[in-house]
Amino acid sequence: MPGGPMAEATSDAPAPPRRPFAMARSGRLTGLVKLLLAVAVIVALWQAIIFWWQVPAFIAPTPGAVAGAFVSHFQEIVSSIAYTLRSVLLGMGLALILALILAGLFTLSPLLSRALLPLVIILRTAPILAIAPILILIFGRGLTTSIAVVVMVSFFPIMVNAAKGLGSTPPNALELMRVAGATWGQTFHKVRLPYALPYVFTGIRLASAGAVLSAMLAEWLSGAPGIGTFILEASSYRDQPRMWAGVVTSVISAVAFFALTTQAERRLAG
Amino acid sequence: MSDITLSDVGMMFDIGHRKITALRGIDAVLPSGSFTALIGPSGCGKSTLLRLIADVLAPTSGEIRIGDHAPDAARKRHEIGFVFQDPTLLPWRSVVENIRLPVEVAGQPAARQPEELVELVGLKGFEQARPAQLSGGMQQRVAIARALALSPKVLLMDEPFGALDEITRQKMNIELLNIWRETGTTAVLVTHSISEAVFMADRVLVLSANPGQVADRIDIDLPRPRALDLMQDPAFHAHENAVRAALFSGERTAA
Repeated sequence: MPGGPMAEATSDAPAPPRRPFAMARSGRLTGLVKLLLAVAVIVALWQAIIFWWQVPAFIAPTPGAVAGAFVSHFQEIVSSIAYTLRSVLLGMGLALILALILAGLFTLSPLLSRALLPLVIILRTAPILAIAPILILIFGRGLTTSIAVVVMVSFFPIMVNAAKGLGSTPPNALELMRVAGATWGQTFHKVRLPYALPYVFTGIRLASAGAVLSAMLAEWLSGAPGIGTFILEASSYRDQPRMWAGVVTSVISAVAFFALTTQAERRLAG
Repeated sequence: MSDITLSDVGMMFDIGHRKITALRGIDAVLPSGSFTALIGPSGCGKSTLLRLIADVLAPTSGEIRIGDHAPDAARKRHEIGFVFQDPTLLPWRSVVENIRLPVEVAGQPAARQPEELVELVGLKGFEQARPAQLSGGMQQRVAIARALALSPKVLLMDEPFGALDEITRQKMNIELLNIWRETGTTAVLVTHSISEAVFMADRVLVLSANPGQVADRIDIDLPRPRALDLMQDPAFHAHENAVRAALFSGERTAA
């Protein structure tokens, strides 16, 4: 190593004052540039692999063919992804409400927590594939079944994290509310819930990563007209460009949804 | 009237299958509007006694009255102010919003405007600051202002200035005495500083440990208002010595 630690120290010294300046000037722009660069690299790699190994079109289409399919099926793709995202949003919202209610009840009574938690875990570990026919029987082949599946998958990580967050209130803050003569509801709303928000958002983030996929799973089983069904149909026609147009759309939506929850977390719990 | 009356108060804790007697046979009357200091070795139950008065804990024997009522009635009527060892501010609320918390909980009009309390504790200009932007001493002032927001009949303080340096601590003590005189609340201060106890209180209850009992009660008949030069006074030293003697005789009995 030429120079040794001394040279390293002197070459590092002027760096810190420069960095924040550069970041402040182009913080948002570099984020967008990075994203576009990443997309460009993926598309280029995709094209390169197909070109190099001469992958036949019935296994993987070229980016150009997928873009073409995207344009020609644009309206169908938009209405499909809107359908799926609607079930994701409604499902996540319902899961959040149910998770907060149950986690709140758990802080009220440890006995209830010990009685109900095994039941919740059973519901979570049972394969959706097995439960779906029952859900379809109850809720039909429409949006409600998709919502129910999203709720079942999302509920658990939100509930576990919310319960942990609601249980982690500083004891002094609870004593403060008690001395102030606060009701259970006031303590929950003014102290417990705000202290738990970072945990709740961790749960939402964990759940959001899988929420789009679980909505698509529900569509494969129920045939509801979302992006999952769009992909399945294209696949059964061996229409690879159309299928990949659907897959790319669902992946972008899932990433966007994940980014949205991360942003919301920064705003509300940062 | 809000005298605090303690009759034969005892407190036992279950630790596993062992019972520990934290307090035994505490008898005392703290007259309305007086200032009492509780002092004793660590583990003598002085913080526990404060929490019994605040109805955070319930005594396992004996009775506590605040005025004519049980502590839980006083608590539910929002008549108790409590200052903890650490400020216990809600980090997402500003100074004014933290002070307003008991008012929101009580759902009554504020006895004193939060802005006025900010001025009383000497934090004018910091109304919108977050707790993280304040020093330890300033945070504790916010905690005191919050405890005063509903003009409580009883002000309970658990070593409120324990974490502060000596200079800040003495300044805060003088401010606290001014506030107490102005509000006429019945004050109870837990401390482990002999000079702080003598400087602040009308009477000092000396507790001994294992189990916590009242070892002695020393009346401090020094004139008010009190200023820092009182600490040079021979009478002040005489009271300090009396408290020290009571503390160490308690130690001997315990050993």
